Amino acid sequence: MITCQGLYKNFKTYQKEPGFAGTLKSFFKREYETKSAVKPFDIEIPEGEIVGLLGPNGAGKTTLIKMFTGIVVPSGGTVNIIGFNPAKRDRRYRKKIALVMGQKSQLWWDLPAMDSFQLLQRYYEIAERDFKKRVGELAELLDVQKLLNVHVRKLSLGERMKVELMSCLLHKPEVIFLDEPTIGLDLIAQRNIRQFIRDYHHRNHCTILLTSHYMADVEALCSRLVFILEGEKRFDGDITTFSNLLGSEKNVVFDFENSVEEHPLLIPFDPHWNDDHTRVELRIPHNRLKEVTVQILECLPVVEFNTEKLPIERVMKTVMENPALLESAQREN
Amino acid sequence: MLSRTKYYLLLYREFIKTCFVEAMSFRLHFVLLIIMDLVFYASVFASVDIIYQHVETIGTWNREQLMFFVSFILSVNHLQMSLLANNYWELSLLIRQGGLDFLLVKPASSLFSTFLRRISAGSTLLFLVPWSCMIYFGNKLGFTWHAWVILPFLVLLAFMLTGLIETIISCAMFWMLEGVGINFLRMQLQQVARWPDFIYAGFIRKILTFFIPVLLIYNAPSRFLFDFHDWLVMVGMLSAVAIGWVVLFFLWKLCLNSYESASS
Amino acid sequence: MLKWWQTIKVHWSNTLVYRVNFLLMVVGPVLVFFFVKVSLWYSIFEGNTEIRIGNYSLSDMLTYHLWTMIIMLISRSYNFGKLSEDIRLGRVSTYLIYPFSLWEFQATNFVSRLLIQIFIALFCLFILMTTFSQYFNNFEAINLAKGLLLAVVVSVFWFSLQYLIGLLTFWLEETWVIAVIAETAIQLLSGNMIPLDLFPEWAARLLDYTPFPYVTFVPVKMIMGSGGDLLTALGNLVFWILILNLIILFVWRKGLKLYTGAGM
Repeated sequence: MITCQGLYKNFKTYQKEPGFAGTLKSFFKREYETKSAVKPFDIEIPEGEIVGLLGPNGAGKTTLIKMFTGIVVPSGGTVNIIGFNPAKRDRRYRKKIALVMGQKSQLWWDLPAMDSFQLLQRYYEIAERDFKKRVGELAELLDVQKLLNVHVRKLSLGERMKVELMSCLLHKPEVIFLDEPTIGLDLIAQRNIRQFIRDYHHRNHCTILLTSHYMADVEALCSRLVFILEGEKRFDGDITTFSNLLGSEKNVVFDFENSVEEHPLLIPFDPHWNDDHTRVELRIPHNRLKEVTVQILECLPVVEFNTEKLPIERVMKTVMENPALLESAQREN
Repeated sequence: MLSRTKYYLLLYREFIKTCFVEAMSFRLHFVLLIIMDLVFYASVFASVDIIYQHVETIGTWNREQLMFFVSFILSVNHLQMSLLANNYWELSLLIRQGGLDFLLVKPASSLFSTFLRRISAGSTLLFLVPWSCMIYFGNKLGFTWHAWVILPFLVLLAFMLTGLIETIISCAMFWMLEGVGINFLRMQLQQVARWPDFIYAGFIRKILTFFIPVLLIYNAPSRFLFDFHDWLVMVGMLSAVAIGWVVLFFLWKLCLNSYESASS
Repeated sequence: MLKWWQTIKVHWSNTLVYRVNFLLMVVGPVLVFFFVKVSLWYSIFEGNTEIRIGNYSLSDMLTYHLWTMIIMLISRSYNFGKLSEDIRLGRVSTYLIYPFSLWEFQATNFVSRLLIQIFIALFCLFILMTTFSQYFNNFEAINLAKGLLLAVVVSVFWFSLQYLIGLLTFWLEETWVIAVIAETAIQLLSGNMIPLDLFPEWAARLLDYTPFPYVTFVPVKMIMGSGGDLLTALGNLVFWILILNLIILFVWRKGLKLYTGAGM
């Protein structure tokens, strides 16, 4: 169970005027400015749920996670996670949580992962038999049995992430915080990690809070989504409600045999061209999909086309340009 | 309490194991570290020796006394280099790159993990050099058995005091853009502490004894060993250690409260 | 020329952003070392102006260390870390593409740092000359000019040495150990702690066949008016700098082969 009310965090940053004169000036006198990373924030997550925290870079997702894990002390507000206040950094609390960060590693770079695991075994006081069993289970689930004795620096990014995840789960945490667990991975590795998280959650019924800026992560894992923009919660609810925000539009990509001029047929569907005009991306309402596609296939030299849901980048861009969409969606929810 | 002690001992054993395994994969670095320490020992002894070729005493100390003092410094320095130094250098990286995050979510004291995690495997092997010098010059000075019994404890106490002072100073890295300069400050204080306190003029000596008590680290134990009547310095040293612990715990809390954690 | 000037300005800017670090790393150590040495030698002479140790009276010794400090402020350089980082993070390949070579980049950094350090040295000298004018009555401007000229050449020596150490990153995980070894050895062998004419006869004679005396001892003596022939000193320094740079060229070629070969 995770609850927080009016949680916020301000950071101080220092400003420098450009150029040598500015540097010289700031050598003697520095001006500081307060920047709010997270504005008063409320959330309630029941036990056993997976919730996705979505938002562009710098929206405050990571800061929020860091306040939940007790790494960063909040500037104000209250947090209660499984009966603890994270900022107090109670040892019993730290034994029950886990943190995975896609961009950082807790493994010792120049050692095989197994050595790092043994260190973690001591940290979390895991009995030898439980430890062996746990390592065996997780290694099988992640298919990394052969990687545990290889130096971490020699692993690929995808392999490293698997081992990283494993290291965080050895102590059977009740609450797991995953900060961008699939960042930088190729599509197959991303899918493997997602699959693992889903299976793991299914077996262990732990609470998981996941941040990402890949929609696919959230879609695959979470039933509930929280969208943050500039440190504020802008949407909290069902994932289908969020993806329907832009109406029932499909994203269709057409590849052409050769360079194509702007065509009146395409204009109503918000065309995005590539540089040499051989590929265009369109947003077509669901109910007109068939009709429009057929017309385009007839009029233009199409070699290939495919449809997909709107990528998160475009949903977010649209949402950010038109925040009113979020409010109406929130009301419906 | 007992189970906690056992917990930390087991954890520390694991630190040692990890660091040794890691050091073995960098053999050249390992050897160079040993050479570095040996060059340092040689240069310190040579300096003192050359000076005593021209004078009988410095202040009130004769050659044997100063040589013992230097050996004492080197034994403490050996512990510091093996057990602490690497952690200070790494702290600036931990803060800048956010690696500290992982230490903070672990169910062990973050102070313990931050400052004791990295052990310099190469340096540990060298303890024989300063200890044999200490025994050689202690013998020349006619140390009684009391002195010999008390000596290891004094080395540990001095190690604790230097560790406390340097850790407290390193905490400043939490408020700086770049922590490397703080490590230089630390080394400058070591430089100052490595000489008998009587060479410093009155006012500066007072500051370096009572305010930032670096002069106590090696001077107090040595003076006590040369003359047990000089016990007052040991009272000073013990109180410095006690105060140091209090300051460190308070300061560490302050550091964690203001830790902002690197964003990526 | 313009790009040089731009690079120099950027370097100054960077230096000033990390202002505390700059003071702690470049200026601090020299000042602290000076303070320790003055205290030590004052104590060795027991404040007595009559006593002579070797050829030195107390005021000679203090003057000696004062000039040592000025020479150090001008000539010391600390660039190996930057180069190591460039090599380790693979930035060397970007320099291989740029019209601005790695060598040029390092050299501009050197020039801009030298300018800052000369400024600081002159500033310190001015302060010292006004406060301790009694130690400055017996020197001649021409000797000072000779000494400062040597100091600038010495800075090329330090720079080359640091550059060489930085290049070892091609083979070594960590080069700071070698930098510390070099520094510790040079500090003693260049007469930074104890003037070389107080060393045992055989040691002093041996050192004549090494570059060490020219790093500190000779320039200081030059300023104090007993450094012998300027051209001989310059010739020796240039000879050692050339040797260093030949090694650098060799190591650089070897390293680059390794680097491009490994496809880093």
